[in-house]
Amino acid sequence: MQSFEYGDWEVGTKEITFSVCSMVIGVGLLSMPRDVNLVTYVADGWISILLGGIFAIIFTYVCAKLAARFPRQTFYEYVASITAKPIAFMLSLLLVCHFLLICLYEVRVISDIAKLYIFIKTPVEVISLVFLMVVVYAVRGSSVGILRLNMMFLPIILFIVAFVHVMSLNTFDINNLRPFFVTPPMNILQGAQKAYLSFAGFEIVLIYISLMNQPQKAPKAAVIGMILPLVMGLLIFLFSIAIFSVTTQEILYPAIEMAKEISTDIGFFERIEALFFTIWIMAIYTTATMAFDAAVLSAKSLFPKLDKIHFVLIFTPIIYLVAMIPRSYDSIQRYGQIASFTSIIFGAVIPTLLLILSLIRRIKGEQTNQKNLKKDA
Amino acid sequence: MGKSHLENPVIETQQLVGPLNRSLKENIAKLKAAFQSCDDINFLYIKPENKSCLIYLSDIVSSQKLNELHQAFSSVGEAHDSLIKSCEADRLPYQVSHVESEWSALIEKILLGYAILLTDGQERASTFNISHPIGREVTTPEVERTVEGPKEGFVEQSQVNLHLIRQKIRTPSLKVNRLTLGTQTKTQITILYIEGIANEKIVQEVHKRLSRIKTDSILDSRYVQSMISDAPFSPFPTMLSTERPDRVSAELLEGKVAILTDGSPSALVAPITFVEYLHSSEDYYNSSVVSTIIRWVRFLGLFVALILPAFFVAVVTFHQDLLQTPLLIRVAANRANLPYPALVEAIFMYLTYELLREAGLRMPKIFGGPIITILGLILISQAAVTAGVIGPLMSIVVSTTALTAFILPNYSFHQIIRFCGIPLLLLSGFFGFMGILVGLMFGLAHLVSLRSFGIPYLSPVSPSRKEGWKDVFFRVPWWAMETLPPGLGIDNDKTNTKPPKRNGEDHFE
Repeated sequence: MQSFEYGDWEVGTKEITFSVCSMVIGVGLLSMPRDVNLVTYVADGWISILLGGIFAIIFTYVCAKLAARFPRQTFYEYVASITAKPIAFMLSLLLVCHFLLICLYEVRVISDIAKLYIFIKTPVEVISLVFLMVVVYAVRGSSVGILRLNMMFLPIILFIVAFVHVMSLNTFDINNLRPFFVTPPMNILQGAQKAYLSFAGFEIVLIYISLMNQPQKAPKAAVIGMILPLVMGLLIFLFSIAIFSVTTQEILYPAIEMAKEISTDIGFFERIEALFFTIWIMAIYTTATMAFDAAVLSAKSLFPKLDKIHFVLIFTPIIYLVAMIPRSYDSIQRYGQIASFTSIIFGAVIPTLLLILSLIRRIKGEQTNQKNLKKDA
Repeated sequence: MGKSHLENPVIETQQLVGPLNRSLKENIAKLKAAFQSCDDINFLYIKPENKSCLIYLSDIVSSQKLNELHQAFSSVGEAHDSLIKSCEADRLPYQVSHVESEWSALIEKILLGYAILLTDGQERASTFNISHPIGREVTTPEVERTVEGPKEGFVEQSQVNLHLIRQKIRTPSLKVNRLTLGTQTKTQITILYIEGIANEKIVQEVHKRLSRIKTDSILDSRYVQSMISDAPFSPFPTMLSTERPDRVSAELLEGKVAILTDGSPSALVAPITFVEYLHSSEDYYNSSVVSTIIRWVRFLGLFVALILPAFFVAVVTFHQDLLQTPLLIRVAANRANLPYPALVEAIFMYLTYELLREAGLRMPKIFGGPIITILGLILISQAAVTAGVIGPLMSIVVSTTALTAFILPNYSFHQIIRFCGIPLLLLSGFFGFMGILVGLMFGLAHLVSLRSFGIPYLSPVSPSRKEGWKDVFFRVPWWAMETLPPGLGIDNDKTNTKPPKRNGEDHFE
């Protein structure tokens, strides 16, 4: 039976806020303390993280502003109206690749972490496959559904993060944080660059604002969505340094180790790192799902004749196979580096250029209030 | 019951169509042919002219009413012409008759328990309602029991059910649309909604979907439900099936559409959201504080029923380090001498419970019925623990889960949640916490894409509508329920409920 479509096919500001937040909270934050601490001294990394975060917020604003200028237009459509069709086509195609890369990177890293902490004997191929299947199932549904999924997952994630931090207060050693301000400015900037990369992912607003019912409110919503991960990043960093001191840079995923350090005597549970890690999977799941979905959406804007399910079927084997190629931690990280690089291009460089171009050429989408959205939106 | 509706072509009885004949003889002959081998049909000629004939199904009409009718005819006089005139002029000392001139309508009337009067030389027939419907009395609902609030439950006759609802909502805006479904059963379906509150689009959609149904039989409202629900392959019900008139009335007043099916004591309500399956009508009769606490207990119950066994299996198989040391020692000591892994134990207990449950349901009341289920489960698990086959903790966990599941007020929802626990259990046995999480994410991804008559299934949680939360996470007092539930596309969101005005001077001091 053909299903009856009625009502809320659109997303509001809340969904955008939550989505940006869930997208940014992924594998990046787990290893960020280590990455930043590699180039900075003691706890000075917080300046880097703050700087990186502020840059991320600025570029989130740019992206959202750009997309909000063209309500209900896909990335391909508005880039075509700012520049030219061939350029828009190329950019969208690259954007598809970028999102696919993020998705496969997340899938691979989460499988590796799961192998490291939980399934010591299970092959990583199986874990990835299981994880990818669930991602595909969500993408097969509606994009709006995915954005709504965030609304339910994020509070749980925030709760467990807050819980871990509160519980680790008794191992928090403030002496580990000192001395302050000993890092040379160049290293701070390097750290800021690394921190910025952990905050990548906000470029999904380029795609998802086209589903919004009040795009003019998007920039504010997206910026609010960016502030939360920034605060979380700062917290995780400061706590890791305070707990592990300088050994932070030798720990692969300080955030998980932090949960491991907690030993509570409050009743039922003693060690909660498995629980923490499991819930963190949710965060990574939403990131991977949104990246996949954004790739599918932008691919669909290029080839409107194909159905969503076709793209899903085309992309899934690609993601799986490419994610399975690396054999070592370093080669997986290379994917991360490429994704970070493309993230700078698509999250910062291109949106800024496009926004400036559209401001100079005074190109703007129609501010219509029509409520008819495409069904597959 | 189990016959396929699709493969066999619908078998039609020899259908009488078209207008009536002038000749009584021919009409009678046609009717006799149509009702061949139906020994309960009666042809009663009106004496002495025998030019009129009263036809009825003897076992579904009231003999008292039939007598009255017969006497009324006798009192009018012998000449059948005057009889017809009396009928048409409603002069009979009997209730109003209808005049029909089509065979199909006439036959329908006979089957409904009417008597029809055929007269020689007339192309019309008068019909008299002398039916004698038999059914249960209105009693307390069997499944959805409450401590407080109205005690009536629906019965099988939709007229009585409509009566119960009309008694609660006395306004002409309560619209009642009827249609007949099922080529053999000719079941009457009644669509109810309140004009001005219900969304027109949804009402139209219900009509459209019902009109699309092609079947030969409808014996219960679930037949209808399975044929018009949004996601036929989803295990989650997208329509609420309830046997309480107060619940249906409350839903109607919130802008929902109700469907009554003749012959079924449960009404269908659509659209419905996930959280409403956790509501019971009692929530609205208790004080808001009590109801709010009970709501949270139900959320907890939902969670326990879903994942407690899975969680336990995951902990003892994969994540022993999660437990506190004294507890861990206890668990380990428990499990040391056990022959099977925790997953096998859990499956064994689950199966035992399901077997006992089903047996308890089918068991005649005289043998104990449902009590046997619970006692049996406890006894068997106790014996299994003593025999050293399963661990005592597992026995506690599964018994708790089995009992907790009954916290869910809606039976069909209860069943789905119970069965959803099994895949989660398997996943947790193989993958630990990650398995549970993957299972839950799979379920949630399914739920967010589900819709009930166009309304997102997880509304108002996601898409988040704060004004709807007052009836989800809390149950605010009635005077604070200022708006109707959001998301139904109703323009006028205001009810007429206002907080009581405090006027200090009027009160006793």
